[in-house]
Amino acid sequence: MTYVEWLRVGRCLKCTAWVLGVLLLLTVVAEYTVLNLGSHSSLSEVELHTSSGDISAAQVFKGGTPVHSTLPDGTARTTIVNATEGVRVTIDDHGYWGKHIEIFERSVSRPSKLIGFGPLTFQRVAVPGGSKVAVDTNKPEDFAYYAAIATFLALIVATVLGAPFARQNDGHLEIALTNPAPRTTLGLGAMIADVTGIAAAWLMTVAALFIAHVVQYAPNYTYGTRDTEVIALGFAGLLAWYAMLCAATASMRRAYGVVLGISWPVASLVAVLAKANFGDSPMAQLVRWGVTPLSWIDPFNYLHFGPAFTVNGAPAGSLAVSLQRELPALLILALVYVALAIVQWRRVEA
Amino acid sequence: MSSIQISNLRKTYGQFAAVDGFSLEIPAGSVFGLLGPNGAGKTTVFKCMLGLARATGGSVLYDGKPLVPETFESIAYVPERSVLYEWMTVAEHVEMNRRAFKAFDPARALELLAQFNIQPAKRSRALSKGMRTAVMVALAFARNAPILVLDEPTSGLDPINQRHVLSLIINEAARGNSVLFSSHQIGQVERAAERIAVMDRGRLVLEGLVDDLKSDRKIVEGIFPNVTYTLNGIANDPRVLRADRSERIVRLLVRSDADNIATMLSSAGATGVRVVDLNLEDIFLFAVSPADATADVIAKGSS
Repeated sequence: MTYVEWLRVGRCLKCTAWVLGVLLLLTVVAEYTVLNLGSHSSLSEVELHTSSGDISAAQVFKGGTPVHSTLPDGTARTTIVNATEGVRVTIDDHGYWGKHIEIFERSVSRPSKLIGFGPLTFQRVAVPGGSKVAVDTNKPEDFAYYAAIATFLALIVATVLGAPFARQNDGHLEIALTNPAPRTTLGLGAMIADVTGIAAAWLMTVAALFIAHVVQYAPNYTYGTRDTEVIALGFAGLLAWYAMLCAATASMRRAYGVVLGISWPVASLVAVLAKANFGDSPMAQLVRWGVTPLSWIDPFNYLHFGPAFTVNGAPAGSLAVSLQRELPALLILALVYVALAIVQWRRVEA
Repeated sequence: MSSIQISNLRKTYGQFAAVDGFSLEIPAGSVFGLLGPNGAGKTTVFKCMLGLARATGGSVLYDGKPLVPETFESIAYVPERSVLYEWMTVAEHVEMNRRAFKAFDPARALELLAQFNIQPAKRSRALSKGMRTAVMVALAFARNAPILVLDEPTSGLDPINQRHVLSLIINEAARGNSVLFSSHQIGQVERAAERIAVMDRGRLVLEGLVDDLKSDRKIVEGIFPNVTYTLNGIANDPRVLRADRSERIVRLLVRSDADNIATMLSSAGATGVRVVDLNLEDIFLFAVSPADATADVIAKGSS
């Protein structure tokens, strides 16, 4: 059974590699086209407050006159001034080391929320006579950014692999049960194979992200305690999620696909409803009464991907609470679900 | 050399008893055929023997010891339906067995697969029902296990491969291994098994050496001139196991002294009385059916 699970994991990882390969290709293409920051279209997401109203930076570019120069350190600088709109854009192109773009605008009435992702950061600061949006395409980034994305993809892989016992029950139990090894050993062996596969998918995603990055920009990472914490939380979440699916399907024979299919919407809904504030109406209290206990056993309730994003240059999520409460909760859930899965599977008859 | 002792085995599903007080001893080094109509409980007996289903009662001992996971080093099992992984190749199944069982011989498995004309590179889903059975049989026989439990091991096979499986079974017995197998093909059981057990509705109804069962039992058959006749108490004779009547024909299943019973039947007025040897099919049918389709059973004591 363990050998079969290794084969299944291998096949799953092969599919994961294909998906990552295609995504990597698309990302590289996108980096050289749509996300090629500094071009007119690429800054369309940056909204500026001009005398013509709120318009995108790309529109401002079109009305400006570019002036090219080379700085003493070799940096290629492009300056675009749009006097009509009161906007000045300076693009310092460091080549493989990325671009630093500064967009000056005369006035800011309503500073908008600028969401960055990974190496791409946006920051708005007040300067005399207006405000400045600084865009960096290769800012030093936390490894947490990779860890969060990899955890998300590994959760999908964990879902795919999440019913090893039900797959065995579905017409192959005779093979497992006539094996000269105790059922608990077989069950744990299969789970270890799957968890190894999930970890491999996580590493493959990190590798794909790294490749996608270095294709265009030089590696520029930081690694600190916070990153270790993000990785620990992610892995605990993966373990708990996978174990929960195993426990939910361990005694099933055929309908396990339905359980895997609805697991994401149900777990997401429970996590969202548990955190939502509906006020104190009787209906809200009823929802809270129903959802809160479920949220305690829902691994999604303890997972969040805030650290992957920055808002106005600062990390979007805090991990202080996570490490004290959520990490232990996820580890306890993982252990309980593993035990439940094994106990159930030991009772299944052919 | 391993023996199996099944004592008072019982398996119930709710109120229904699939196996009810089944006891059997399978001597080491014997080929044992388990016969029974559909739903008799043969597969359930196999499953309870192997711990695939939890017996409600009774015990199964292998060389006097209860079943533990390590016992499966000594037992090869072929289920009645394919349990192969559809997405795996035959070669991967060979490898799976090599990793699981110490005595598994991959070269022997590949040799047997070649004899069944199966390519190891093929995925299971590309195999026909018979070929899947053949793969399971090849894997079981490559196990070098002292006990083989085969649940309809010729199911779906063509006559050539059926004959091949029977030869393999006989060879295993010649090597001193025990084989317990079930089949609906009574001719195959007759050819391969030295002992049989017949099950009906979860119970053991007949058991013994095939040769003894055949030599012990005879059919005494006679024809009466009229439809209304009496047997003068012959049906109550302890040597008569069963009496069937179909119109003017009477068939008596006799345990011993068939010639004497034939004389008694002639004396009762029957003509053309003859003593017929039984084959295994007759023994099986007498054991499991209340009467053949065209006959009435003469209740013993009413004749």
